Amino acid sequence: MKSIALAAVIYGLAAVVSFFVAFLITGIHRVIVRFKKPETN
Amino acid sequence: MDISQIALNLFQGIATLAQADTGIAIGRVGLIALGMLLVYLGKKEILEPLLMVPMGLGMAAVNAGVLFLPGGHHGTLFVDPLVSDTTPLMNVLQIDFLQPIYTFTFSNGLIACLVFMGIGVLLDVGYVIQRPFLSMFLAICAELGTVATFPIAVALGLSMNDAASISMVGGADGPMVLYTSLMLSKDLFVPITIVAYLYLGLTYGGYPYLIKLMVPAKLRGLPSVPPKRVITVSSGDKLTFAVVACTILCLLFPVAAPLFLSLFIGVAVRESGLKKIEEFIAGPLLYGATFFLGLMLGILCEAGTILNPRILLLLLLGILALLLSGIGGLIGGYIVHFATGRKFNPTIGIAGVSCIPTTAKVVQKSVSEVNPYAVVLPEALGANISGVITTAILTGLYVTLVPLFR
Repeated sequence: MKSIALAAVIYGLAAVVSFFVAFLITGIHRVIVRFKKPETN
Repeated sequence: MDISQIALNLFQGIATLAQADTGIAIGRVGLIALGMLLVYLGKKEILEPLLMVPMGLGMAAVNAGVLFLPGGHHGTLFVDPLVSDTTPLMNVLQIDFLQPIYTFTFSNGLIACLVFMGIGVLLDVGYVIQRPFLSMFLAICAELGTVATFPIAVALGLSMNDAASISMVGGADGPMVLYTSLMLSKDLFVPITIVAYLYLGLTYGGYPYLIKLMVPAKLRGLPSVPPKRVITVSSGDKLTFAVVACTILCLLFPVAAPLFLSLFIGVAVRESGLKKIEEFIAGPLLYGATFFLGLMLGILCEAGTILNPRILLLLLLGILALLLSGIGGLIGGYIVHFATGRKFNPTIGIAGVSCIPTTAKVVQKSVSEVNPYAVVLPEALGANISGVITTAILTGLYVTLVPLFR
């Protein structure tokens, strides 16, 4: 029972951290796009 | 001394075979045959030749080259994986020819980190940046075996540490299994790592059948869905992601920090345009580390070490973990398929199993068999690279949390 609960906690935490990484990727990209200087001729 | 004694002293490999227990003798002969089979399968490219050729030959040689050591014990001059005290270790370092490589690169996880650095250099995180949430969702679904095998292994009598190590086979990432088992189950890390590397070949050979079983041909042929807006990803974006993700993941899981640093330093080198270092890591370093990893794995397959009573259980749990991860990935693919109005090809889900780039290639091959014009490789690679990241996260979680609950 303890191992099932631990497995569930680990899966849940892994999902949270993975989506946090995905959120980070999107966030970083948005920040970079916002602050990127427009190209001039 | 009669002639038979002289012959036995001359051909000690045969003499030790004749003197050994029946189980050990059969095990030695069986492992010699298995080693030769692995070399053959590697040559035929049925299994990964980079790993299987040195591993198979090492396995055959270590089980053939057993001799009489002082005190009448049987042993080899290759390596002693069980010696850990300083004084005997210093002696063995001067006798066994592969002991320095084992002690200074293998038993401390360095070789796993070197392989991971090589993988980092080969990763193009641009595929993940294009579809981060989709890729991560598929990858986390494809970790089902990594998590579900853990309570099953505990129920079958393994300790929590050993159960966590064998469960990592579900992530299909050899260096991670090596690292977790080194951290959590030093006594079983040899059989667990061997089981892991033997099974990685199964993702190439077995997953196409699982795909055919779970995904009907009509759905397998679905073409890729173009993203709503195409994002231009520069090398600066990828480098920023590598630096930030590495720092945050190290902050969250310091126990797995060497793995995170190794992976993301590879990505950083690739995206910084350090061509010479990139060539060095992707070439001599990665191939050298893979060669010695294969050779060490083969050498560690000595009958006395490998004939652990728990090996059958580990073999069963390893295959269960990989099977459940494949099923989990395809379930994830189906969830996205229905969520996108039946447009998404559910086959892509299995690419979340992080055996990079094998599972992505398996997906593309399975799709191309039904629809030669469908290109799903970019989505598959996105899920595949995310799989490496989620497996590293799970390694961090297992290594950090499991010792707290012993």
